Amino acid sequence: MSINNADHIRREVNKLFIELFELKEEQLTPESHLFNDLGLDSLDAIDMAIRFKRDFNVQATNDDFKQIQTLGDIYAMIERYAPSLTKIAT
Amino acid sequence: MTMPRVVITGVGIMSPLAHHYEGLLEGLRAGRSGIRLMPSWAEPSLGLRTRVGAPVTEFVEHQIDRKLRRNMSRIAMLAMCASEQAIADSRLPPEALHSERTGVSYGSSFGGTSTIEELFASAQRSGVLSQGIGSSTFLKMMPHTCAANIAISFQIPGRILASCVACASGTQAVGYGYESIKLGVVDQVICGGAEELTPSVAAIFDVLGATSIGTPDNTPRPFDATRDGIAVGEGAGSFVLERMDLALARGARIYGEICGFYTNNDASHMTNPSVEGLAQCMRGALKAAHLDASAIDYINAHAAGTIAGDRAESLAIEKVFGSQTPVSSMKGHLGHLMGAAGAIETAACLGMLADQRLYPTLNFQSAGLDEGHIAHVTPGGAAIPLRTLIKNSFAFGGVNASLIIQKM
Repeated sequence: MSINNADHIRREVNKLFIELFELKEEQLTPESHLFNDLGLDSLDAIDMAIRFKRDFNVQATNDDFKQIQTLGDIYAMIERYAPSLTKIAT
Repeated sequence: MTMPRVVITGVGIMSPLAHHYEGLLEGLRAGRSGIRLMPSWAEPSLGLRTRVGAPVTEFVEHQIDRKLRRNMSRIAMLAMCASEQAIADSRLPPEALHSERTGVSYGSSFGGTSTIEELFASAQRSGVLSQGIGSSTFLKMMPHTCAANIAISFQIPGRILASCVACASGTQAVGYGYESIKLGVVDQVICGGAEELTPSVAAIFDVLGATSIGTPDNTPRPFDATRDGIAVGEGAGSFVLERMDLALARGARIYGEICGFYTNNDASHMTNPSVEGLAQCMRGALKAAHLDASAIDYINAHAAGTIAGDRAESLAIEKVFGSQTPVSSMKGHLGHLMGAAGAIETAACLGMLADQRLYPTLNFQSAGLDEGHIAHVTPGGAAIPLRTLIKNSFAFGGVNASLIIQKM
């Protein structure tokens, strides 16, 4: 995984969070806890998973999503599924 | 056992005429119309005949917190905004609002029709039905979306009632709220009705030949011999109902007392109203209020501007009240706001009680020969001593609902 692709993933994930959850860029750090810091809840998590699958073809399992606590966990998960990140790859 | 009396202590309005109660009354007093030309309905892919609707304009959805808004279609947003106004207007103390002695009774014809349309569009685009479904799709579509969203937005833990009886939903929801207090199961109810305007709702009534193909300057024309159908619209009307003794004890402003409610079914035809069914509904409300027909000073009709509906209602009114009691419909001003109609028209009734003046039926000129002989409020309105009124709502499915309201 190149640094450039990691940056690209961050940008794309952050863009999605700003659109879906009406957050500001400065709130989005790798340490940001999805529930405690960003105020998301279980319904938001479902919408997030739907969009990862739909926009980026991320075929993560429910167990993968259950492990996620911070935005950094999401970047890492997306990187693990990088081969199927068609939108990012293009 | 003496049953508690029930009063209205708060009103909130989101309507095609205004986004608040006073604005609604100003519009009605001035004879303004909320009917608009709907240019987007000319799009050929919609296949619509009608071009007139009654939208709530300049509504800013983003004023609602994201986490609440996420679970709302437009209908629930309108209902929430109207309820917020009503609760503030009532000055109901927070400890009462957040108590299990407060419930929600809210009506609508559908849940979020725009959400259903979006789901169809997404399935059409992607070829996969589940593609457009998100975590909140059901929460926006469900028939009790208004009641549930109001309860959650304002943290109201008592009972939830959701009346889904098409155009009688708002009136029935207020009636069920009233009955809940009478039964002693709650002391306060946030109640009312809402609807959102989408092309699919217009199309449903278009296909039935019930929509107007007129222009905003002269349609709809309830009770008029030349009436040509309804103009569908949207909005929300909310009320705070309270046990009268509690409202008096806290010095609340009282708009009026609900003293009778009845709802029934024609049990004959889904769309052709039964004169006897409508008459029986009004008689039932009178009986519930322990009043004789002669006690009613004014009848606020459902009359939406359809040939069959207005005729049946005028005949039923003549049967129960004779030809002297004044009658008018607010749908010339407001259009047919479906699940919101009964609630917003009830708010108009409260305005008339306060003004001691009847608002006329906008666009009405003269009745047809085969109509019931009733006393239409003449253009310009009429100043009368107004103490007791009946408010009717009738709906597809043969559902009828009537409320009786008295000035305190």
